[in-house]
Amino acid sequence: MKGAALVVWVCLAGVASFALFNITFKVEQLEGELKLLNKAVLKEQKAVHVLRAEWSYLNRPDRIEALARKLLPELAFPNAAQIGGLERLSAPAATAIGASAALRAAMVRSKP
Amino acid sequence: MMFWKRKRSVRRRRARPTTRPSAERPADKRAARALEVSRNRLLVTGSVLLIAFIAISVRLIDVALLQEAREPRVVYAPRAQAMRMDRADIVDRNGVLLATNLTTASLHANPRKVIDADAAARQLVTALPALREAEIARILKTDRAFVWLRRNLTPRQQWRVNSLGIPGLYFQSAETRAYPNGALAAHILGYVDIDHRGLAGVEKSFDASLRDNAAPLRLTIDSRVQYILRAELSQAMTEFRAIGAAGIVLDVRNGEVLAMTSLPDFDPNMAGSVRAGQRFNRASLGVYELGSTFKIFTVAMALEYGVVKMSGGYDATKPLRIARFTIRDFHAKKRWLSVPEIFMYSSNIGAAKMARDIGGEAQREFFSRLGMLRAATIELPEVGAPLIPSPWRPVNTMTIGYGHGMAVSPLQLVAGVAAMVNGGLVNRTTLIRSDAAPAPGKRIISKRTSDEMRRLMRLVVVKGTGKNAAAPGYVVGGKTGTADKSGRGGYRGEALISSFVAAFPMQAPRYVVLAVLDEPRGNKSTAGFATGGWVAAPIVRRIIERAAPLLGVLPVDEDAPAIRQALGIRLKKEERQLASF
Repeated sequence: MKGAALVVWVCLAGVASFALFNITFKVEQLEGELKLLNKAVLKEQKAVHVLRAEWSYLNRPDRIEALARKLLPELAFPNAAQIGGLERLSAPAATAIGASAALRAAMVRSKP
Repeated sequence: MMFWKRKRSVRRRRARPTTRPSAERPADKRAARALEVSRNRLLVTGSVLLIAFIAISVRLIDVALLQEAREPRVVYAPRAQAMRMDRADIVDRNGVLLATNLTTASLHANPRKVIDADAAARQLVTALPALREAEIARILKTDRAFVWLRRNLTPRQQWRVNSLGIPGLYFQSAETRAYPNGALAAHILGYVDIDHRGLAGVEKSFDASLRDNAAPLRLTIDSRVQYILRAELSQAMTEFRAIGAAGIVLDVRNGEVLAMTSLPDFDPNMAGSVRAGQRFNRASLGVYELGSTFKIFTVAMALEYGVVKMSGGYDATKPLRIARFTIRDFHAKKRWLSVPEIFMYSSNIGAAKMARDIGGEAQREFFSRLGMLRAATIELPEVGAPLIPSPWRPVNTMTIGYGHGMAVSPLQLVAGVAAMVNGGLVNRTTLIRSDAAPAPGKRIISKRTSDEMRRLMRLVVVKGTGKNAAAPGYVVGGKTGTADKSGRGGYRGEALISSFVAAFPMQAPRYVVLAVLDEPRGNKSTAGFATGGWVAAPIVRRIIERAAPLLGVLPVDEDAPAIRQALGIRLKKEERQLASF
């Protein structure tokens, strides 16, 4: 009887220690993965940072203006008569534009 | 212990039959000893294993039951470490990147490890054409362990050098301060030295926080408006062959500077090779006698202190003599002028007489409350202290009345004009965008006076010297200014500071715009004139036409009854006739 109890205890201890070590190894493995992921995130952050600088460089207003002059020679500065609120338009047109603007706003909001 | 004793007793029991003295033989003795040794070894091994098992069991119980037996109350998600640069970014009010740190590679060499210096130099100049072959060969032949060849390579250059495969050449990564928009906001941003210490602009005034903070520094500048201001000023500077120009766009409600430029400027990416003249910030560091734009303050003071009413006026028939000066009118009408006329024709005689009636003490106190007697408050190290007369004689009071004898920075003028049109509140000018509500401004003139100033400034653009600033639909109001530049021993005849300060839309002003040209020369398009109304007013018109739609100011019908009522001035019949020609 005593021997059987001992065997049970030893088995339990064995199972428990196996589980413990298994978990430890898994955690270590996950930590390693996390480290790699963090490294990758950092690398991506650096890339995004460089891209932001490039974006800003490519969007210099003087460059955009030069490109617009070259590629869109018909484009001119808008004059005051071309700018106005919705109320200046006739009712159906205003409704249509208002609806599409509302739709656009809703789409922008629903972006992830 | 029990285990030990039991084993011993077993041994004893077994050994007993063999321990009879008569039967004892040497062979048995040896066997018994061997058995004894092996049993002892078994026992020791068993004990060690037992201790190990006990230790593991104790630790198991400890881990499973005693330590953190519950689920952790606070769950920490493992977070990626955020990227950290030596210096925080600077962005404009819309988040456009104005200054950032980039990691670049710098090329250095260990000449002792370079096998063939001449061949290496020959190859290297194919990848980096800016280098000189002879110079590189000389450097690579020296007996040193470290020499710099070129700092801050572009990724493409680095790739090219790397693909040459020259032994003894190495790269070192380091951060470089980059200004993607170049000269766009050079005087505001400033620049840094090679160790990333701010030497000018907000780079200097926010040096410590840029080093410590990861969050970008957000300016009030709108890079689009800044570009428009710079482009228009630069074009006018070329057109009128001016030696310099300055311009500011300011939000009248909170003192935020939307754009500020000073020409000639520089590219902060190449701050090392910049001349002192380019570094000079005319908008905040330069102080100038800004001429007739000061009449805005004189008239506001006169109306506020009840010195004269809108319907009142002064005789401007003859030039005014005081001490050794003679005060003349540029657009002389040679008759009695009402207050609106004095303002719209920019009469020096009228303004001088008005200032005389206000008195030196009141004038000084007014300018002091407006912040014009000390350097402007703005987050830049380059701020010029105004030049004010000491002592403040009656003649100074009169000349200051039309903007001579006191020099302030363009920034101070703009801040002052903003207070005149925004309902009478002096706001602190700022370059830093903050989400917190700004401190309420200090009242300097009543709402009523401010309303009258709006009407007067509108009149200048509709009927007076500032017609060239009329941007249709945006209800512009303003004041021209043309001042003789003072040189050694008095004023220099032909050297002018021509300016125009405007606010729009005048029925509810949102922005003040200033354009100043330093020593412009008239040309055919201006009939040879280089005054503020001819050279600076058109700049302001173009700036407003281009920037107003971006700033969300909708054009209105300027002839609408509500606008006419808000900004109209009833001139007397004879004045109307005279004004029409």
